[in-house]
Amino acid sequence: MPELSVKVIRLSLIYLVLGFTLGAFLLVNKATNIDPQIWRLLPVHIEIIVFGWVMHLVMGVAYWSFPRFFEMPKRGNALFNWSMIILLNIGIWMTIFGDLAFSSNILPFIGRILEAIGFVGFFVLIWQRTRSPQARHD
Amino acid sequence: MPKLSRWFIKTGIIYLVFALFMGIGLEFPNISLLNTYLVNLFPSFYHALAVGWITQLIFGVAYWMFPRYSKEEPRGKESLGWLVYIFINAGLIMRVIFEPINGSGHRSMLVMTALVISAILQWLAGLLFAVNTWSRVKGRNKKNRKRA
Repeated sequence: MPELSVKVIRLSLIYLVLGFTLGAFLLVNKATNIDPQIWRLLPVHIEIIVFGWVMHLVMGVAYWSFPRFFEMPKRGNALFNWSMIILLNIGIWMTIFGDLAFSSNILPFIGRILEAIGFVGFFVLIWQRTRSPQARHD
Repeated sequence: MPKLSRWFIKTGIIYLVFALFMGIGLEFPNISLLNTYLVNLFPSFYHALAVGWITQLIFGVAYWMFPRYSKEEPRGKESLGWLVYIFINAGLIMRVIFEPINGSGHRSMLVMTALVISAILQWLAGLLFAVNTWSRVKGRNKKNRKRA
């Protein structure tokens, strides 16, 4: 498994634990009414599960297992891919903090743009690698 | 495919079908005798899809296909994998039963306790899966090849 996949899949596991922890808090709060403010964590829970856990896992596994290029670098430009992952994560946390702490629209807006750039950049590469292993020009 | 993966994936498919039927029920809350129960079924519907179907499918496929941990324990601790399966399903079933009851106002100590236990079980399932999978997410260096 390439270095980027190892890091991204492990990051997805961290997001999984974080997302499940928030989910458990929300369910316990629903049952016991500890504090209505805890409901503000619901969009954070969804953001972390969808973009943190599931999407990182999909990206890590796709980067690892999809057909490779014939020329070097076999899995695409590593620096570019790392940049996309970093942009995506900055985007996720800007969205979370914007929703949670600052109640401003601008921070989540920029966060969503960064997430979109990160996803599009990464999946442009995966698009190119989505081909028959034998086909040189699909 | 290992037995545990088959159980995860088949259970996931059952949840998918179950959630689709729930979705049909949710479209007709007013003509149902279970009116108050059904209108509070939305969170369970989404969790049956997200946890029951997608998460279990991922758990099953990851347990099957990720790199081997070692020759002796190719898929990590199998007992830990079965605990994940039991915890996630017990937690989710309790949630699907008791969350709509809680939402429809029929609160009791039993309902509250069941939801708290459900939360803890699902959280433990996520944590144990991450622990068991962590060391299987690795590159192909000499040390890892020798161990596997």
